[in-house]
This record gives sequence, C-alpha cells and structure tokens, in this order.
Amino acid sequence: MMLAEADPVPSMVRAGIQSFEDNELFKNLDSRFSRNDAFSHYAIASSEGQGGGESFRPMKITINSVEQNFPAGTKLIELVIRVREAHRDNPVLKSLVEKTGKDHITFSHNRRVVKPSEYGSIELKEGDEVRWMLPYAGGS
Amino acid sequence: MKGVWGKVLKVDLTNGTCKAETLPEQTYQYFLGGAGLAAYYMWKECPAGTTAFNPANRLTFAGGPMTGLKQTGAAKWTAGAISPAIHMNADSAATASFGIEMKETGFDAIVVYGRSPKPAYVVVQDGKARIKDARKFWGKDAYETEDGIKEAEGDGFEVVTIGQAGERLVRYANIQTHKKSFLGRCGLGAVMGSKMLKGIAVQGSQNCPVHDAAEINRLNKDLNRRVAELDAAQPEFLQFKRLGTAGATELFAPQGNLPIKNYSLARFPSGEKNLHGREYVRLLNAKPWPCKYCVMQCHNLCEIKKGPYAYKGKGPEYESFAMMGFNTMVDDMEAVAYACELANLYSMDCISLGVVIAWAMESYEKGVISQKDTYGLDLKWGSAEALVEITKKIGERADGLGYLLGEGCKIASDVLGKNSGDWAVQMKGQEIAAHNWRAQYISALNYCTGVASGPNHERGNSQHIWVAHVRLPEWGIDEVKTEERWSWEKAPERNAIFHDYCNVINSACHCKFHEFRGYTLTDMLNSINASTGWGWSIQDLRTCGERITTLQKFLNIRYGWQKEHDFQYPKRFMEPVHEGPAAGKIPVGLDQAILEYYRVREWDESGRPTQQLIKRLGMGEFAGE
Repeated sequence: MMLAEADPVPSMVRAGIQSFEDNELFKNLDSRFSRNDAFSHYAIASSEGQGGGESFRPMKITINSVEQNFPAGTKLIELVIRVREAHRDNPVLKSLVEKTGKDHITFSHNRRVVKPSEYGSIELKEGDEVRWMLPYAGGS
Repeated sequence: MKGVWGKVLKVDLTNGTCKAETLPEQTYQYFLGGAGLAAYYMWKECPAGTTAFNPANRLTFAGGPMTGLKQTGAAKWTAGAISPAIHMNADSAATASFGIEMKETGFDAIVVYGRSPKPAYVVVQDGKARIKDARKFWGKDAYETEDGIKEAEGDGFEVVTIGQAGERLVRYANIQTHKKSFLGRCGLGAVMGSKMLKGIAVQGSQNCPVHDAAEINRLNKDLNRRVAELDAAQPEFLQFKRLGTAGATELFAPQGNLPIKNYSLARFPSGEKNLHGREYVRLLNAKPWPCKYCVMQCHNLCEIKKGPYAYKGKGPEYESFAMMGFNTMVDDMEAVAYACELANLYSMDCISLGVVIAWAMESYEKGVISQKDTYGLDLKWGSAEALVEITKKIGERADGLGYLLGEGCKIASDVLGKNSGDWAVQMKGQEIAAHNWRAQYISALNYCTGVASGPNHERGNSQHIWVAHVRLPEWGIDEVKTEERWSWEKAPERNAIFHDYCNVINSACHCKFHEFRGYTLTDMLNSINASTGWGWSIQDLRTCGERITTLQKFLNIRYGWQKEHDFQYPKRFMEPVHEGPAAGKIPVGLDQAILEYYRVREWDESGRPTQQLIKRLGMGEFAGE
C-alpha cells in the first residue's frame, strides 16, 4: 500500500477530515480488528465474514508492556493510525498539530524508534515489541 | 550482600563522633535504601515527640541498590528527616554525583544526629569520617560554601551545603549539591541548619560488588540507547536535553494544569508567550548540564549576560518557574530565572517560595498587608522587582514580613488572620506544587493522602497518568478513559499504586523522569535483580513499595498525624476557574475518595493500617508506637 506522504495523519487532520472512516486506509483496518474500550487492546475479529473469508493466524505482540493477539500480516502503520485516532481529541495533541502540523507521538519497534516514513514498510511478527509514547517534556 | 554495602555511617554532632553501623540484608529487602532507609532510621531512632529541630531528629542521606550502576538515571539519591514544614517524616531526592560518590566511600547512607556546638561540616573519605570547623563558611550562601569546602578538602569531593535560609531555619529551606540539584521540599535544609551543619563532603574509590556485572552492562547499553533515542525523536522544543522540564508549559497550558495567580486563574496569555520553552532557550542561553551517566540531561546551565538579572548558573525547572512565574504573574523570564537562582543561593525551595510569595501578593491585593509591611515594595501581581526583592528578604530572614514568610503560608496566615488562610494553598503546613487539581482530580487525592512527604507531587505522581501519559501496566495501570480524569473512578487505587511506585524509585534510587522516555517497572526490576541477586518478581517490587509506604504511615501516626489532617485541604481546591480546559472542574466527592483510598490501602476507617495488612507485609515489628 502506497501512502500519499510519509506521515499522512496530520494532513488528514489539517484537511478537516473528521472521521477516519472516510479514509481508504482506515476502511481496511476495521474489518481486521474490533475495538474495545481500552483502545490499545485489540481483539481478533471473528473470522466470519471478515476480510473476504480469510482466516487469521493470531500472533502475540507486546504493546506498551501488554501482550496482545494480532492477525498475522499486521503492519505497524495500522497500529499507528489506531493510536492516533484514539487520541484525536487529546487537547495537547490538538494544540501541537495546530502549532506544528504534527502530533509528535513516537513509535518504537523492537526497542528502536521508527521514523514516520518507515511505518508503512514494517510488518509485525510474532514476539515483536511496539511502544508508543505521547509527547512529554517534563513537569517536576 | 550484593548491590549494597550493608553499612551506614552514623555521625553524632553533639559528641563529635563518627562510627559505622551494619545492617542486615533483610532491612534492604524490606526498604531498599534511599527514602526507605531514611524512614527506617526515623522509625528506629526518633521516638514520638521528636520534632524537626530537636537534636534527636535523624537526617539521613542515602543511596540504594541502583546507585553506582552507571545506568542513565541512577545518579538519584534521597535524604529524609522529620520536616519542620509538615512536622512529620519526609524525604526529598536529588541527583548530580553526591549519591554515587557517597556509595563509593563504602557506606550506603550517612545518618546525622545531635547538634554541633559550633558550625561544622563533615568529611567522609573511603570509610573514614571527620567533623570539621565550618565557622568560616557560616553566613555564606550555599554555592560559596560548596566552593570553600572543595577548596579546603581538595579535588574529587562531592558536596552538599545549605545557605543562609537553612542556617536561619526557613521552614522550606533546601539542601543543594553541585550548584544544580536540590533536595527541594519539606525543609530538610532547615533541619541541617538546626544541627549547625553547613555541609557534607564525600569522596570514595570503592566499587560495591554486584550480583551480575555483565547483565548490568547489557541492561545499561540497551536502556541508555533507548532513552537517548526516544528523547532525540522528540521535537526540539520538547527534548529534555534541550529544555529540561521547561518545555512542560507548552503541554500543560492546554490541559489547565498550570498554577496561575495563586491558583485562581486559568489563563495567563503573556506568561504562556514569554515563559515558553523557546524563550527559555533563547533568553537564558540554556545548555545541557547532565548528571553523572545520564543521557536525558535535563539540567540546564543558563547565562543571562547583561542587565539587572545577569547570572550564570542553574536554569529553573518547570516547578520553579511555574511557581515563581505563572503563580505570581511575573512574565519576565529573566527575572524569574534570576529569582529562582537567588532562592538556590539562599537554599530555599522554589515551589514553596512561589506559593508563599503569591499568597503575600494576594494578601497585599486584599489589604491584609500594606506597603509599610513590605519594606516599601509594591507587592503587586506581576512585579518582577517585588519578586526578586522579597526573595532576598525571606532568604535573609529580615525582620518583619520576610521572617514571617519564611515560616510558610500556613503559619503566616495564622499570624496575620483576616481570613488570609482562605488563600493559603497548603496542606499540613506544606505548599501545594504546580500540578493543578482542576486538571485531574487524582492530584487532589494525592495531595491529601501522601504519607512520604506531606502533599507532594512527586511522592505519588499520579498526575502523570494524565499530563504525561505514564502507565504502569505491570502493576495494573494500563489504558484509561478520558472521562476518568474528572471522576473518582479508579482514582483511589491508581493513587495507591503511584504512592508505592514513587517509594520504590526513591528507595532503589533511580530518576523518575526516565518514565517519560519509556523506562518501565520491568527495567527497574531487572536492574535491581542484576545488582542484588534477589530474584524478585514484579509483585515483590510492589510489596516492597507497600512496605515503605506502610512504614511511612506508622511514622506519620507516631509524629502526630490525625485523620482530620487528610481532609483539611485548601479552600481553593473547591473554587473553580471559569475558562480554559478545566473550567468549572472542582473535585467534589474528594472526602469520599479519601475514605475509599483508605479502604484500597487496607487501612481502617480511621486511616490506620489494619492487622491484616501488617501481617501480609510481615511488618509486625514496625507496628508498635
């Protein structure tokens, strides 16, 4: 999947897209995940009627120290978009996007910080560790 | 024993003696070191009735099993004593290199008691200690004293000192080291002054044996790289390395977390513009000034080259310039930085100082005090001149208002009357820090229920769930819902977890700021196990935190805590602001949340640990009065 630019999400916000469901990339995600209240916990969608009848082999990925099941073939960009969508009402991030054009959420994969241009190219594997971090500067 | 020496230095200033004392490993397994060890010595040697300025008060400087591991963040160390602000046990933490050097002398801690007949300083060097004459330093500021002691003792010493405010018993006097790190809160500098102790110098060359040196090296390489990388991935205006904690105002303003005009306002546009992180770097010429081994490098060396506020030295932290700037409405970055550095020289905590000055400004506005009380100063909101000059008066303990303000805003308002207590933003005698309870209700609960150091934003830093998105998934704090920010849903339980978490960090001796760059409980656990060989689980770490909290609670009770103290929160807690992200938010239901916190903690309805808890933690020995 080719992305229009390295980090599409903030441009979508700037363009005033209110719903990520408007976005082609996001439409494919919903069929693969169901979302519960704790947004970083992803349960495997029932294989019935999902994704053209594919069956999903779950794999264990650790997200911010919590192990979770994901369908095989999940890409990092799919998590990135989910995390950003879950935080889109965060006043700090809205302020940052307004001032800088970016939300500055940082993602690391297997203990290495990932550049936004690489989000789309990383396919997650069994045992991978993903960490995401909201921008923070200190406060003591 | 690995990771700790099992040995502390006891310094008796009354009799002029120094001797070593051994401790069993179980003491460290129960209380780790740092804050836990300081609490242990208060429990062991300060009976009921001991007060802050009584010679019997123990002032303990302690490292922990992480001290000296050469890991980023492991320069932290802690001191504790009975506090003259809250009149109960308290601890405070600092960094730079003192803790590491102290451990290299062959001691895990230095426990000071008694009172010297004349001003003194202590020198500890590779297992030996002497008490020396400090009369030539008495009356000098904290930095000049450090320079003087280093000159007297030679190269390679790390030093802690107090300035005039500590000598003259300002209740929120601090202790400084290396001219950049401070045991800020709870008035430990005044305890030191009450003992006629002007400084301590340490120098050592001994490496404490560890359980698995290869594993520590491996952990260090991974953690140091990971933390540095995460900081570097942030935009420049949010990097610790660039701004320290000053960048926080950028993120706290949209959350309503800033303290503005003695916590009475929601917005301060000129402050947000002029006290912005970018201005900090530009006007103060901030450069990194790291602690030993640290890759985050959040301390800044600043320089204002000309003008009335010219200085070169420590750049203010978020709390310092939030309280001295936003809270007093002074939006002149240079004046705020200069006033903070003055406070450092005198050795005063900028958090308490900023709240006290804001209280005085509000008192002046309301006519409780007038210009005849303020040495002719026009003590109006936003006056940079007033901020700087009144700081000097307090540090010098000038007769009149300066002296009174050095007692803190609780005592000052008790003395002045005229309902001035209504705007004294303090609890139990200590001023509230720069995390606004209106931005997240859990802050109010934390301030009311903290046992380590009274109302303290870093003894229980649960506000970071919201303002910094910190999670402790290993201990059950994973994802949270936005609406929980202004509710009591799960707040008592989360508050308890963060109290134990802060106790573990301040006792193992690691820097909490690393939590902002992905450092986890598992990382800490692995480091403690590699140092000590104890083979702890993540639950063992939590149990240790509970033990330290429970010991502190026993001490609170011993030194006079009553249940009603937890409910005597400032009147301002229930006064809303009318604009901004926290408009209308007041922590209604706080009383019930406190009672629920007791229940979650396995304390009874009177706020005392139950027998069930005492048995579960194996603390029967510590439970008696």
